[in-house]
Amino acid sequence: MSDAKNTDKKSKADDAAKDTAKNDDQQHQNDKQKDEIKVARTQTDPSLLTRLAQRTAYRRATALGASGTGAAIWTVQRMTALALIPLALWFLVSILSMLHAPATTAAAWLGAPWNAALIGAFVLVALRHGTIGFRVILEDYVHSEGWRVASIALVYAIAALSALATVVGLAVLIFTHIGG
Amino acid sequence: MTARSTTRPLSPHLQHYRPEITSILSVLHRATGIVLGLGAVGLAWWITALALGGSAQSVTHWLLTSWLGYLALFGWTFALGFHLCNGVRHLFWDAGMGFEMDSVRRSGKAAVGGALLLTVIVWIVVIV
Repeated sequence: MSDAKNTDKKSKADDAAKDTAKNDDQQHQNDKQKDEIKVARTQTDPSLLTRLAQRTAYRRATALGASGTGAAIWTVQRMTALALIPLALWFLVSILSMLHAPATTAAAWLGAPWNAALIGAFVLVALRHGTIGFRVILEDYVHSEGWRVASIALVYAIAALSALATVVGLAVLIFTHIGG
Repeated sequence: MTARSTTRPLSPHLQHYRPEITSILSVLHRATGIVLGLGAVGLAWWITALALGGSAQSVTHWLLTSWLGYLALFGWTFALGFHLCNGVRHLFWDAGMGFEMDSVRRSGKAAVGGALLLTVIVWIVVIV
């Protein structure tokens, strides 16, 4: 019985010794790896860096996936939302009450520079806010990448044309108002 | 790669969930957003038509003041009212406020109420 116990203890001690040896070995391996990583960090293969940079540039150009611009768009969506609160309320109060008036009254009203400036701000900020929203919806529901890119491009094109038409139209109305 | 991207389900997989006030209002936020986007393009056209004058102006004015135009404007007003109120709700969430389930439900009902109130007030002003 006691012999058996002794051998048991002995084997345990042996195991422990082996374990420490193993640990030492592991430690050594780890140190070696760390050294290798240090070397790799200080002498990075320049082609790897180029490839990484190109990949980032590609993601940025396509703006698909983690292109690193998502946080900025999120902020723009919130900032435009905040700006649209007073602009939308102003718009509701002033524009819809003009529905009875003849079209020429509306034209004259829009030609007043302050009204033109506020409605221009409302339309442009709304278009910016809207393109972000439309894009998110299209990214969620349009499965094929080709159609997704095409539909987002179409939304951007329509928004750009609307913005251009708004600015030019308001400019014309202001000049007519001042001239007339 | 292409096989995976075409067969995997995309995130808002609506038909598998029982509709609740939270999900319905979330869908409504997007739907009203689409309506408002179309409305913004319409607004840009209205400004352009006024600047162009002539038949563009008179046709647009006739269209806007027809019963179809009034119906569209009424729907657009509700869309604006709801997207505005629910948008404020979203901004509070972004600030980390109002995440408890009962306050989410309460703010949802408030957004719908606010939208209806805003629509009614605006159209009383328009009609009177």
